[in-house]
Order: sequence, then structure tokens, then C-alpha cells
Amino acid sequence: MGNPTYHSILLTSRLRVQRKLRKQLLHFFDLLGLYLQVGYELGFAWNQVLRALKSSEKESLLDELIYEDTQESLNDCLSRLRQNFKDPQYRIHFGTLAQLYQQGAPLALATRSISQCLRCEFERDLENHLRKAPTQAQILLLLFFLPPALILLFMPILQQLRNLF
Amino acid sequence: MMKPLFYYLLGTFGLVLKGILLILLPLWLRELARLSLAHDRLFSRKVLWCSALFCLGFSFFCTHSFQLGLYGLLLVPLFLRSVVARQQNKRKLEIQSELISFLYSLRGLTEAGFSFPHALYHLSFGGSGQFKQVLRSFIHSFENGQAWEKMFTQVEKGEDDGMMRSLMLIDIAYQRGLSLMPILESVTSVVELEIQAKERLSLLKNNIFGQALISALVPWILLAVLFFFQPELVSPLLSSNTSWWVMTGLLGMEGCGLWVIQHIIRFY
Repeated sequence: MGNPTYHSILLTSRLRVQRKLRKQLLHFFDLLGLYLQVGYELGFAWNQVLRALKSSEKESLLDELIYEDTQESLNDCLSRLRQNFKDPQYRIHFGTLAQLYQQGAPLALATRSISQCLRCEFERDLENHLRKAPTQAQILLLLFFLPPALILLFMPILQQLRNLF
Repeated sequence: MMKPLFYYLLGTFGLVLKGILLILLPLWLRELARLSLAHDRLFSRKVLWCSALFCLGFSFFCTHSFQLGLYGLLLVPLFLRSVVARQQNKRKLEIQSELISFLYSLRGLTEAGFSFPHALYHLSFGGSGQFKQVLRSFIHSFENGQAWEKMFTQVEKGEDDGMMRSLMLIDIAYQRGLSLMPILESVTSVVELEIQAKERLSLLKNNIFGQALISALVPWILLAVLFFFQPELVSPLLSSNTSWWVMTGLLGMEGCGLWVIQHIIRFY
């Protein structure tokens, strides 16, 4: 079913969960790529990276990637992720890995490409956020702080006028 | 008349007081706050109980009631928590910025022909800083026979984002006799991009939050100034119950605004 927070009602929370998922996937593929570059086999590297990420992240959103505890093979795990990964936009990456793994092709470059793709997506999202956030904050400042400022400044005068009349 | 004004001033400028104390606080008290919240839950509970008793006692001694103590109960845990968060954040930022220069230096030394352990020894000497201290403790532990992997795992628990894990991979590559340059290039670019992103988000957050705090405090400061120069205008407000409810409502509105802004500017 996935992490309950992933199905949150608030749009902002859902967006944040998507970003956390992308961040964790980015870390996962970065480290996986480094392990493959060093020379480790995908199955070993996959488990090592997941174990390391689980110990360092407060809330792991990559529980779906774990296959060590089940009777699944890595091949089955990749096929499952290709079809059922919680965020559909990332299924293609697992599909690519699954196909290359089945063919016995080298995976280091593919993993690096996936992490570069995720990184570009992250940078685009970050630029978008940095562009929009100041405008949104200014609007909120006007909405939440201007009325109290006006009320506080004019309240004594209004009170005086009220007492006069 | 003085009592409500006293509560009003303390309640309204509690945040300002907290901000000023953060800057002026002596190091020993900051370390105490860090200990209380970073490591020992029992210690933090003792600190909170003591602070609660102190606030209530101080309140009763000054004003013969416990109302003032309630402000202290709210402010003290927030204060301790923000001191600890600031200290930890500062330490993380320092380690991150040192890590980048360390990785570039390591790349340069490796290109020049230094071996990995030789380069680490060379880089660990000279200068001070959080990261250098960590590196020196690594070298010391390595000389005593402890494996790199174990050391990195121990450090990793205190740091975030697995940056130390990247260093561990460099060590694995070295042990297998592989060329370090491709690994170093990948690790350096990844770590640098992450740190740049964090710095940009931190800058955005500080700018916007600073503006929000100033916008929240300025009306109250102006009201206090007006009270100081023309008390006859402001005194009727302070003696009216309706005005107190309105001011509490306005404080609540500002608090909501700060919370919403914090929610909006967060990236994760």
C-alpha cells in the first residue's frame, strides 16, 4: 500500500512527499552507480545501498525496493517495480534497469544516466520553487500581517473616536 | 495597570528576547542546551522540570501569581530547542563546506600522484575545523588498527545525507586497486550540487522568515512607542477586555501567518 503519508489529502504535503521520494531515489541511484563503478554486482550493491539509506533516513520511502527479506529475486523485484512502483513517473527507470540486467549489459552508465535525469528534475523543481516562493510569501505577508498592523495602529484612534461619540 | 502591561510586554516581546539571548548567550550555556536536547533524554527532562519549577517560582516571587511562569514554560523549551538546532545546523554547514574543499584537494593530490592514505594524512594536518578534527580522529583510529569502514559508519550516525558514505566508497575503490579519479569526480560533483542546493534553500528561508518576523514585530513595536510618547491614547486599550481579546486574536493571526509561510517555503 505504501507509506500512509504518500496518500495525504493536502496538496502541499503530497508534493513534499514526492520531493522526498525523488531525493531518496536520487541518493539511491547515486550510491548504486558508485558501487557499480567500484565493481560490485547489482544485487549486492542494491542491498548494501538500501541498508545504508534506511539507517540514515528518518523516514524511508523506498521500502518497495527491498527484496532481501522476501523470496523474490532481483529480476522479479525490478519487474515488480517496473509495473507497480508507487510513483508512475519513475517506473521507466526500473524498467530500463530490468531490461539491461536481463541482457547482462553493464549497468554503471545506465545508473549514472538515471541519477543525472533525477538530478535535472530536482534542479528544475528547485529553480521553480525558488522563483515562486518569494512571491507566495509576499502575498501571505500582506494577508496575515498587514491587517494586524493596520488594526494595531488605528485601534487607539478608533477607540478615542468611539469614546467621543 | 502595571501588571497587564508587564504581561503584555513580556508576552509580545518573548520572541525578541529569545533572539537576543541566542546571540548573547555564553558558550557554556549553549553547550548545556546542546547536551540537554541532543543526547540525553533524561537530562533534558530534568532540565525541563527544573526550568518549569524555576519559571513558576520566579513568577510567584515577582507577581504573586503563576501566569508569568506560563510564558516561561512555553519559551524555555522552544529556546533550548532552537539553540540546539542552530548549533547542529552550524556544525553541519561547516562540515559540508570543508568537505567540498577536502574533496577537491584530494582530487588534486591524487592527480599529482599521491596515494590515498598519503593524501589523507597530508590533508588532515594544518588548519582547524570540524571536518579536519573528524579526519584526524580517523587517522588516529586507523593507526590503532580500526578499519575505515567502521569509522565511517560511526561518523555517519552523527552526520546526514550519507556524505561520509561517499568517502567510504573511495576507500573501497582504493582497496580494490581501482583508479580513484572517476570516483572522486562523481562524488565531488554530487556533493557539491547537494550543498549548493541546500545553501540556496537556506538563503531563501532566512530571507523570507526574516521579513516575516520583522513584519510581525513592527506593529507591536510601534504600539509600544506610541504608548511611551502618548500613553493617554493607548491606556484605554490596555484596560479594555475587548482590546485584549482583539490583540490575542491578532497575535494568533500573526502566528498562523508565520506557520503558513514556514510551510510554504519548505522544499522537503
